[in-house]
Amino acid sequence: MRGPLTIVEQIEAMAATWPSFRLVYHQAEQAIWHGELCPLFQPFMVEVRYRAPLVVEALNVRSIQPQVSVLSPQLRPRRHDAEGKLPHVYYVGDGPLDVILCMFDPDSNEWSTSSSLAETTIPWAANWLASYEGWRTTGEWTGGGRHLDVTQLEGAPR
Amino acid sequence: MDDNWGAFGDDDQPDPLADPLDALLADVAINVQLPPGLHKVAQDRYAAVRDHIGRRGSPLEGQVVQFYPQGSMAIDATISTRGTDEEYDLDVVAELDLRRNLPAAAVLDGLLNALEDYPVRRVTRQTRCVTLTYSDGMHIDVTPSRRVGVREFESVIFHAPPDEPAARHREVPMNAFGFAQWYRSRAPFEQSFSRSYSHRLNDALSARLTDEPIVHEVLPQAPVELKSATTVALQLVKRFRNIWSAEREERYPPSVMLSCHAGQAAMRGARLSDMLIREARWTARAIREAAASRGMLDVRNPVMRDDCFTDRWPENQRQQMDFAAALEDFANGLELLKQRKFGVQFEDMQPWLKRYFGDRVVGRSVKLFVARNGTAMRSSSQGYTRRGGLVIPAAPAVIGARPASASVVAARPHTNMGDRRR
Repeated sequence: MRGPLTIVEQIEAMAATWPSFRLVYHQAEQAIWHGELCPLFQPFMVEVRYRAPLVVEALNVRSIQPQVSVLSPQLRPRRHDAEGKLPHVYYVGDGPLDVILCMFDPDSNEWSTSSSLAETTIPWAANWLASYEGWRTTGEWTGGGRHLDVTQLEGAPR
Repeated sequence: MDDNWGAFGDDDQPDPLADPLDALLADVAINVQLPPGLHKVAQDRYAAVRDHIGRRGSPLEGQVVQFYPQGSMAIDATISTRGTDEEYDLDVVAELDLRRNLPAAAVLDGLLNALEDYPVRRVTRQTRCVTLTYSDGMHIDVTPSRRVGVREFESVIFHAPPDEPAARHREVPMNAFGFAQWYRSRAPFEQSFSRSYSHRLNDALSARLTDEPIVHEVLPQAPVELKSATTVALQLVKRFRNIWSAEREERYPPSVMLSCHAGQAAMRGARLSDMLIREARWTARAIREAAASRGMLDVRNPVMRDDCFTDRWPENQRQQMDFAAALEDFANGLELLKQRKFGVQFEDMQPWLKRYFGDRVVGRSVKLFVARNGTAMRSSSQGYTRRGGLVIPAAPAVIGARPASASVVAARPHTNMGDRRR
């Protein structure tokens, strides 16, 4: 089984696959990228934060997962929507828009530290944004997924 | 921003409708055009009407020389009628063996007599035709003609408003058949466009069968539409014209004039959105040029100069200038949407689209578009452009689409999770 990808490997893969994403921070095993995704009609500026684990670390996928947030334009919540005021996000701060996108099931094998962000996180963020645009327009989230009560999950982003 | 949307498609061929704006416009066109099932119904009705007019004992027994579709049906650009989403106006020419100098009113009245007892909801004598109104909302206008020219299908039709004195009745030169041939030579069907459009059409039809856009069924016989971007853009311009005209109590810009401009503007391989902008600007520019010399728009049949497509519209300067301004607003809006840099989100586009194409049609098209995207994402059959654009197969549920082969990265299944705070 392939081991965790180092942050350098992640940075190289991101640069090769998504040249429009700019590496804005790199220190030790941590990196932050900013880049634009335009899955349908609206270009969104997104931020991807990630800390690659050391080989000796055995971290919970929930706590190590890449964090994707939308920098602009602001996401538009919809109160009392059956899907939630913003579907498929984790709330990570006090503000109503302090959210990161939740794009995989941490209990499945969909993502691991050996996954390339370029091949998973970025296309999944594009899917999320396309689903979001569809949801805002029709009220239906057609991108699939399921909701969990994250307050009961140990190690989930808060 | 112009992403490389068209780079991927089935069989590694570019999909001309890969850009989401083009795909959405195609969905709108699909929702206004004559459905394939009704196309067959119309053809059967034509044949039945022809047989009835020439039947034994008819006032026109044995006088039907030719019977052929004209207008939108002849160039496969039929859309629903002004102000409705489910009714269709179809035109047919009944070329009759008539002696010269027969009064125009006599010809039209004769045709009315031949169709008087025809089993439809209503038979109505008009200024230049007889309209058959079917109970399902279809209208067939039967226009009598007499061959006059040496060249094939050069004819006259008969202009005789029932409320005008006979002295003002007249014969009007016409070559609808020749015009349709000219149009088709200018805007022949495009193979890759037709394939992509047909896939989307079948996807839409299968969604309608189940009355639920997310669940699709494979149609027993998938219709194939032989289309060009020029003709689909023409259908959208006509839809725009219908919606624009619906709130005006006056004659509306003629379809044949728009068709002629579409034929002149035709550009093989153009994207649908580009073609739509081009056709709208083409007509607006022609009006502005005519108005610059205080003239009225004058559009003639390219194969018969005496056949004037604008003899009844525009009636005055105000009318043509209003239409030109509306076409320009429409084209300007489309260009903004194409650029994708002014923060226009999909949900903001919807009211704009409804204003130009109608509430119900746009609502249905948007739902279909979103459902198709969802189907592709759930089945991992989408691709990605270099800028994170989604490339959605034309019909991910119906044709068993495979992932776009030239995608920047392969789509992988994943499960959106997260909190659900109200």
